[in-house]
Amino acid sequence: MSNSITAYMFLAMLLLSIGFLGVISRKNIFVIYMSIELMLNAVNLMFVALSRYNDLMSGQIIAMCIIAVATAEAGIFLSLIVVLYRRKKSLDSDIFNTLSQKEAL
Amino acid sequence: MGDISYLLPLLFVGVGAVVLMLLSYTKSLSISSIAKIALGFLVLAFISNVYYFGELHKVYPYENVFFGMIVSDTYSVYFNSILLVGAIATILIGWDYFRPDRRFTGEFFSLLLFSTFGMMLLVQSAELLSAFIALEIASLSLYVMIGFQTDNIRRVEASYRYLVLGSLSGVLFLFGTALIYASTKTTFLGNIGVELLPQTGKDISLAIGGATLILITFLFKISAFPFQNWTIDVYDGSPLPVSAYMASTFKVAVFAFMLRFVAMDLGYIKDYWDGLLMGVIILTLAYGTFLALAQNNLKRMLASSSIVHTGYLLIAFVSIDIIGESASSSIIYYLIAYFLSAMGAFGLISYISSSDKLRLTYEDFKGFSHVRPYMSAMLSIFMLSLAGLPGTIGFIGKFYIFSGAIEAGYTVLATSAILATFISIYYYFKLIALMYFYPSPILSNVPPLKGLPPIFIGFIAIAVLWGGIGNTFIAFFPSIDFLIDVAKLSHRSLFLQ
Amino acid sequence: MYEIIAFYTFSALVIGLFGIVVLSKNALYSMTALAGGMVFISGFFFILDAEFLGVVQIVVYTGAIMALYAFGMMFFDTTRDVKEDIRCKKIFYTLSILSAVLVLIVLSAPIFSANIEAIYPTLEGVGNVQTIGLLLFTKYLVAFELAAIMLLVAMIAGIVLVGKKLDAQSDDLEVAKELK
Repeated sequence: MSNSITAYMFLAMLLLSIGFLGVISRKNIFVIYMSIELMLNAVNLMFVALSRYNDLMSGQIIAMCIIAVATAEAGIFLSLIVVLYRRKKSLDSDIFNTLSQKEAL
Repeated sequence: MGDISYLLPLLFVGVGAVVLMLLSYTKSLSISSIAKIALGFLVLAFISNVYYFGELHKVYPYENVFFGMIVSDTYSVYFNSILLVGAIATILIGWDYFRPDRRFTGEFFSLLLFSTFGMMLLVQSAELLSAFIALEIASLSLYVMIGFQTDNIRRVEASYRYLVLGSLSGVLFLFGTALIYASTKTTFLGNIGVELLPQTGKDISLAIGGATLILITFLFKISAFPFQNWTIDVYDGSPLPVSAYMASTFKVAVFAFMLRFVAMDLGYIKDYWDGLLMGVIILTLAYGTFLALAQNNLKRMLASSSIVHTGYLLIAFVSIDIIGESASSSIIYYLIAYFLSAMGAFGLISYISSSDKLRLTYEDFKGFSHVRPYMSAMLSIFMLSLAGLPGTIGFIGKFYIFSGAIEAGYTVLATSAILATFISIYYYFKLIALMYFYPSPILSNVPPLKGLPPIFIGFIAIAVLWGGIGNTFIAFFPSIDFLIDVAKLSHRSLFLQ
Repeated sequence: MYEIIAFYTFSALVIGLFGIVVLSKNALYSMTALAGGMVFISGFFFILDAEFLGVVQIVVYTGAIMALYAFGMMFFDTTRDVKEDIRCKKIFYTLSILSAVLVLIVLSAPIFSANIEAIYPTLEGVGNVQTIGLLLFTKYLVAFELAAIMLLVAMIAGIVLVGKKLDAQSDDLEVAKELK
């Protein structure tokens, strides 16, 4: 049967890799954050599918806690973005180069 | 004393964090009195923790309420002591650094306690989900502690970098948990190991993948080779006491969890990692040494050398399944040695630079011994200990790790580690040489030894020396053998039923 | 049968929308696509008999977090380079009509749904919400409480980082005066 756990796992891993692509390739700090959120969603999907497949509820509880984690991270991300935007007036992650491998000062 | 006594350290720190959060709202309390309250809670937690120090036990407190998610054993008591001392040391070192004119407020201490709370929970958690949330509590508060001075763009940038990479590694941890859950249908430590036993005849390839992903998160958090690039920038961008806190305590907490996870559950999977870890260790040592040689800034040098120390620790981590208990105890002992030396070095530098916003380079220390002889002496002790010269605690720590590696048959690793140690002498001794062999002092406005931080740093320096020579020269004096015995005991407590 | 169709439809939609999140040049489009993708993820949750989680996903995740982010984005004026004029009127009208039809189908679905049979029958006598509640407050109590503490830390973080202190504000005012 195609609608099995394998299909769900495959889908989740596909979404995870899409998110990973976003984190490493994009420059906009909003999009980087959204890609991480997207990856968390993919993990959630995996947990719920496993929970259904194994007839265990614990996967759903874990997924719920992951939503809480995502919320907390969202709060910190947003506040840091606000602080960064106040200072730099831009959302491009390339301009954050004060800390470079070279000596800045 | 019922089960509650096992949870008292956690409760003191957690309640302290909430109390400080509420107190920071009132304007009438000065920042030093808030720091005193934080210190009080931490000391209370430490005392209630030390009560069980060195006693072989393993208890799941309130098992009918918490369902064995939190465990208290000799192991967790041992690590909690290190973490609590780390938090106390951070406050004492930064006593003059955390000032209102640097925009430090009461909330900072609340976050410090929250982060300690998260780390202690990470050490004590016996389940992957609660371990992850504990890790998140610790790291979320750390992100904010790094970026606390929002008027300084370097701080905010360091915080943002750490946040992005930390969240990414968190996702990998969850992904790994999902794969382990898929393979074993449980997330409880101990049960996972039972499901993975070869007798069950199950296909454990999914669990291997999951455990490897968790290993990657772990390698990231302790800044091993492919994931080390954030370390220098983040350490450099954070306030110095926070760098000291991160370098000494966070690594300890993450190591503690991983050691527990591997010892309890992943005995069979660990064999698959050997080749991978060998490569990681050699590259970590090589790249860390290279970075440390290239730095001119003292803070960045200490950050790079922390990568090399991660490499040493991982050697003992690899040899754990061959020599078992002694490798585990050598990791624990080395963590203490590194903790003391790094805390002292970072603390002293933060004290020296607290008067002005100077970024300390090697050049600034030319002839420093003529201005502040005692400070130079202490700094030299810490550098000697980090380099692992005989007579300091760092030597004993390295000795146990290297001899363990040779005993376990990892001669290649031991050789490369000894090579890295030899090279490390160059960048540690460069500082000592500059301090003592130049006549004209450059740093002139260094505060004299006054107040709480220098006393405490001096105390650490004595501890570093005592750890190195105390047991050899002073008979009938409580010595480091005691710490090693307890380390062995705590490793044994992991396998109690 | 219906579940297989739903799985593939949702998969295609979620992959497409998440692809837009990552590839779109405009952050606002990414965010809208992410919100849409999350709604369709909740569709999977409903297929997998996790109704409660599906509701949480829509209400908390898509509703609250994404709304917060939409606000944040508008606050930063990231829409500056978005051109709002409609270039292709035909496509615009076709899409509007299609979405209206879709809404109609969704709303009339309960009439047909009586014929649908689930592949996996749900557990008899125990509701999804009830089981989650039981587990959450017994076996996973620690995780639940820790999540609460974590959210508290996030709250403090928001206040500490973004909340401007009074003296900082006066500094800014002085700078502004000097600039004038």
